[in-house]
Amino acid sequence: MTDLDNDQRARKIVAAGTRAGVPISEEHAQLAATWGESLDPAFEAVRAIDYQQHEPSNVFNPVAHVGESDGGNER
Amino acid sequence: MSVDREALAFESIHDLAPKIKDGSVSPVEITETALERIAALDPQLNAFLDVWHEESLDLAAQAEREIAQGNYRGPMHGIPVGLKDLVDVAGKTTTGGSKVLQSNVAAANATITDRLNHAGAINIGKTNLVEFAFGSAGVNPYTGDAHNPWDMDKITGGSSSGSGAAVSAGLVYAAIGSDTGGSIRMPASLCGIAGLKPTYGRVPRTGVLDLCWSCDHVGPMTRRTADCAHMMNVLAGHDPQDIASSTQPVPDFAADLEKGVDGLRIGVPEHYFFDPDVVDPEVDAAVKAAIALLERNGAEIVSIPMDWVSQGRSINVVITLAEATAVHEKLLAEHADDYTPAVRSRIQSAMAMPAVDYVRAQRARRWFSEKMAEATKDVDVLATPSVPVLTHTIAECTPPPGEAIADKGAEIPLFTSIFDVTGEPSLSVVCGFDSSEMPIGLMITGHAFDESTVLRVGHAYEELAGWHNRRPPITA
Repeated sequence: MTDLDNDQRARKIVAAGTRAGVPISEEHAQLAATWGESLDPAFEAVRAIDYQQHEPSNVFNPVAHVGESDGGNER
Repeated sequence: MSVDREALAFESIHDLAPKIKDGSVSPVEITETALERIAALDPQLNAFLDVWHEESLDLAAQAEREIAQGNYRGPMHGIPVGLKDLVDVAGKTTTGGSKVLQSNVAAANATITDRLNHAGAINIGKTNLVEFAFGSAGVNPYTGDAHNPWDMDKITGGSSSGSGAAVSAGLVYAAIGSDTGGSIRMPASLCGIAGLKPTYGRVPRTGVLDLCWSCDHVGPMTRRTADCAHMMNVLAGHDPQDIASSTQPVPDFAADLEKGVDGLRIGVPEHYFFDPDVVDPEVDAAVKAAIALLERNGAEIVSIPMDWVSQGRSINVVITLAEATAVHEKLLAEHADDYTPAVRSRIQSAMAMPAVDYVRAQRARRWFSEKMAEATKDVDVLATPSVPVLTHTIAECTPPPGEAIADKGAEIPLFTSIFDVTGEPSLSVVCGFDSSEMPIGLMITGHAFDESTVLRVGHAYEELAGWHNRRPPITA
């Protein structure tokens, strides 16, 4: 990633933090951008998965949809 | 410390419990031994953040009186246990290994704290961890790094770093860990002990700090698998205060331990877990030798194609990042400067993450879990390495000043995190040592809510191989 790409990512992080009420300095935004860049392959891999026929996993019962539901649990 | 006390410190709960029950071993003696070992060894190990001497000895004396009066509560009665410092104990500080929560005194016990108390266990103190459990190497510049008892220059693995070191070094007989991407099984593997991530929802999270709601698991770390079973008999079961808590019936997790592996079908993935581009040759050899031993003792080995399985790690990364940022949003707004730079940058990196990335990952998670269920429907468990690489040094896993990323460590959770995505029970047991005399872990993963078979295989393997009887080269 170029310095320009990192700067753009850092600016987005600062702006998102401001919207969420989380102040983020330029220095920390650069660190966060560098970390975020290292995870880009994971995001790309997930985007490439053929998930279109699947609804989201049940957040609080991820084993429910594979025949292992615990039956009647109110979640 | 006398040879007898050294031997006592490394006994298993499984062997110790009958002696405590019949009065031939005193809960006070083993608690004193634990406290002595902590005093002697923890200045080097940094496994504990807080130790409760007087309360522990009072509880041990109470346990001794109860047992003498015929009120034995079960195998955990009188056993010293460490709690990862993200588990609430009323009146004690829960720091999460962070300056952010340095004054966070718990108003009530976590559900699992209550359950351990009820079972008569001696909660002896809080163990070190990666800040907010968000990291896999085990380093923490705020609390200081925990050190691996097998080599003090090496990492313990994380995030349950202190729990791994404390159990491995014979400071306590069991400790609590939590596992979002492998934080029970990675330190279990690197410290040469047993660690079980139960099925998602099996052990309540009430009163345990969150990292990622949909991937967080709480479970036991012990020196052998049978002791994980005894811990599970105390920890597991429905908790109406935890929205994710399962209502599945809870078995006696120790009931099947002695059934062996004859007739069991053990799946071995054809892809990824044994890919020479991913796995160190010494890890590969040790795990394949373990699988061969199980086969010689009656297990049927079934090769399973899984050319999609590496995607699990990516799904875990996206979900964890999104949820951890949501978990920490308020704390970050108020205490950003109190976070360590590495964990702060991990959390802040997802501030601008599109919501659709998270939803996409949860859809992919469902796809992935269905693929896993279909691939493994004809086997009882999967056998794989726990951690693909040999144990790094602490220096290699510490980010340089002013930087967010260390030279090494990113590979450590590649395998463990896959089963935080599926939510299936997964155990790491020691299956040998590398050329530097560092432990190597075998990971045994089963079907949801079938911890019993996972524990059965782990126990059978340990009885056959005996690696768990080795002790690290440190003495009090």
